[in-house]
Amino acid sequence: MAKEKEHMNLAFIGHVDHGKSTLVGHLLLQSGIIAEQQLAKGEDKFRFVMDKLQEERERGVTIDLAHARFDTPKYEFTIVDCPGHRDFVKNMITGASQADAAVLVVAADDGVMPQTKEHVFLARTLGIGQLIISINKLDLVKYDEEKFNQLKEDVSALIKTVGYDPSKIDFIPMSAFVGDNITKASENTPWYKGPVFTQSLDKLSAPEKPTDLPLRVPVQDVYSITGVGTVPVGRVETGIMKRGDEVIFEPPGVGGEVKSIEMHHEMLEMAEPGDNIGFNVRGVGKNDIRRGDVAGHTDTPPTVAKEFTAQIVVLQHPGAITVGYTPVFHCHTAQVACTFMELQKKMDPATGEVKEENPDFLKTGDAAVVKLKPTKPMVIERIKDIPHMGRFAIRDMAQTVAAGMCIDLVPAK
Amino acid sequence: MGEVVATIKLMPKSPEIDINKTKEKVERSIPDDAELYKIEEEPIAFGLVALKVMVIVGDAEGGTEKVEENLSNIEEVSNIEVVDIRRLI
Ligand SMILES: Nc1nc2c(ncn2[C@@H]2O[C@H](COP(=O)(O)OP(=O)(O)OP(=O)(O)O)[C@@H](O)[C@H]2O)c(=O)[nH]1
Ligand SMILES: [Mg+2]
Repeated sequence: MAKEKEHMNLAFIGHVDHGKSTLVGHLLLQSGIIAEQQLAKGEDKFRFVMDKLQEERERGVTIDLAHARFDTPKYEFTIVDCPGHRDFVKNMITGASQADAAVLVVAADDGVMPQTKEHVFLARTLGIGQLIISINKLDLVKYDEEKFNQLKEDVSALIKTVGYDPSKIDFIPMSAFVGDNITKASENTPWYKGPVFTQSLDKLSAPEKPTDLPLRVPVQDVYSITGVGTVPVGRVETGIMKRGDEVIFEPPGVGGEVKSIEMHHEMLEMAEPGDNIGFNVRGVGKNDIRRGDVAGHTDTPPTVAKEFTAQIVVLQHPGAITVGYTPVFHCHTAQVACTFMELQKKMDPATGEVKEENPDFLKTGDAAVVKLKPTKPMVIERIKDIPHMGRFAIRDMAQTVAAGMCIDLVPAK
Repeated sequence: MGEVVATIKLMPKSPEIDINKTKEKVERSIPDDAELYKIEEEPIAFGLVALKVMVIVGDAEGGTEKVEENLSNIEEVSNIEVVDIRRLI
């Protein structure tokens, strides 16, 4: 039996209309996922397929396509074409389907635009460590090498600001529309010697299963079940939980021995990252713990922060964010109001340059480093230590006001 | 405007709830501007069964907010989580 290929989730991001869907469509076509038999000879295949998809009334087909998998020689990929509207950011931060790599699409005729910047910050905040840059719509600038190099410089400056290393990232000149450099080198870009898109995909590193990190299971809900006792339910984010382990729930600080673990109604000896489990801990009652608490091993307990420092990007705020502002932070399963204690620096999202030390206020589009204080005990981890537990969305007035990650913290004990 | 398909996981209040009745309530809770695609059962543990609801909404202001609110208000549902979100091509 052939060895199963490793699987990766690939997110497509970029400014509106820069060609994300077109690239996804062409990629699926060239990998044979979209069937070719429907196509007449000599027809503009690609236009035909896109038109067909757009008028497709059969929901199942378009939904299956949105979850379609395709293979490169090394990996199996699932594509996630990211929603454009900011109101989905909250879901992408707290949701389960974490992308392992992102493709940033930048149209050559339009250049770096506001959403390009925002998405780069978000990708970083979502913990996506690997990027591929598609400089798209090169057909509209006559496949001009100069233009490509200029954009490569602009995008490099942008991604450097959030800690990506441009020298380790592929920039591919493309026309998603024509199909240049997707699976084979294009005659339209003889000056380009780098990898084509699918080769670049194979250069990505496989995601590490976060089994080596400390155990963290954010509690989603707590049940009292006849014959079993108290059953917290949640997804294992990191580490491994085994029957018999000593665990502790923070912030309440209660704990005991894991008596049983179940998933899909089956008993497990151990649970690993990604598993949705219910478990039972000796001595822990229904009123001792609740949603938002986090289970970890007693010798590596979840961190309760008295204060934390975060890098944030303000997505939409009708006014100005000032010291004293106390919106609700959505972090893993917790929802805790946190107060802005200090605005330390404001950065230019395009250059990363510190624009202002100790600014008086922040507004939409600003990136900043701030100090925050939870209004009640809350578990959060440094993004460097446990990325899965360090990111959050800031919500106010039923909107996602900002997104961010914890870069440092002062433990409560 | 593009469309987004969201997968929303509903946790039950207890193992004893009537799952078919809950499904009917889910069907009735979808706002007019959203479209229910399907509902799947996901067994969790110790008799608890979650529902996975796939809904299509516009890639626009409000996102899944209204759907989330309505689903959270179903009596048999303890809490909900959007576990996957993606654009349709
Ligand atoms: N000339 C040219 N046009 C392109 C190219 N890629 C995409 N387009 C066109 O640009 C428009 C937008 O393309 P989409 O693929 O829908 O862009 P998108 O990034 O998915 O847009 P949103 O999902 O709305 O943010 C369409 O009219 C495409 O036909 C390209 O490489 N060259
Ligand atoms: Mg699109």
